Amino acid sequence: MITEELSLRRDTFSVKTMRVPGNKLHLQMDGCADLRVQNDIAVLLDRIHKEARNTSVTTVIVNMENLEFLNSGCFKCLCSWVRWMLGGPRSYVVTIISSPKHHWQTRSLSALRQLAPDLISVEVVRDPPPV
Amino acid sequence: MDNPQQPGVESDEGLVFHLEVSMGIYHLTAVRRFVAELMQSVVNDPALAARLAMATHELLENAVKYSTNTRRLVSLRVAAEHSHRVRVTVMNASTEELTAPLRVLLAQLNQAPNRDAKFREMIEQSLLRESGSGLGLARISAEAELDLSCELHQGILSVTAETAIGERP
Repeated sequence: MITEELSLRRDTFSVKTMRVPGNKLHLQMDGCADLRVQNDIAVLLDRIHKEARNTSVTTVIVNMENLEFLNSGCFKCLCSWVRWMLGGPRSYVVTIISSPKHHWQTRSLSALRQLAPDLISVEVVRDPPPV
Repeated sequence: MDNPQQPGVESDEGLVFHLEVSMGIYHLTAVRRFVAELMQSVVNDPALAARLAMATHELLENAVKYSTNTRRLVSLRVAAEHSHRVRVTVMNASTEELTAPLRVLLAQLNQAPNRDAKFREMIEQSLLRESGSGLGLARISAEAELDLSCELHQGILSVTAETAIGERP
């Protein structure tokens, strides 16, 4: 079930957040995150961080398989999130699910992970082989 | 929309596409997707086409943010020389005051011995900034592996991102 207060829907971009068993939050990021949604993402990630810190959440899964594009401003929002995670008790980790079909994800997410390799992991989903 | 040249012209020098538009941020995704498809048809390399498309998006965002023209009139030029180089150039009205720090930044990016390390350094600096990320050009340099240059001529700033076809530095 989608948690509306931790979700976001705009014309070209959306984040759907669900609580899943095992004290996890699952964020589904879809579309194109550009200049228009930078402020929205910053506010949303702050809420998600506080929710994770203040509850029993141990893992936040961020599925970017359908995140076609993320501009540098929105990328900075992700970096700020990691910085917040490093700034207090390390109560949760983030697992990012990425897709090789979006080329930007390889290097951007690698750079993001290097900010906190103990707290951030990136899993690459491979396309199914052609039948 | 005003096209001073025919779009998608195949010339003796290869493909040249030129677009001049009163740019809004709502145009960016459409233009990025178009450049990705156009360049894929030219270079037949999805990764390179995606790198050029990302550079296009970041350069156009900068042009929209920093253009001194109230109509945000921006030109985009995409060129591919036969079997040689591909380049994306974005032009907008600017001033020497705005261009001077850009020249310094581009020199730092192009001369960085390790572009990934420079990108990480700029991420750290970015986290100290109150506004803006300052990461768009660093991303073009490190992530898209494109060389950057700029020039200011008669009040028009041109910023170019380019690379050799089939070559990764």
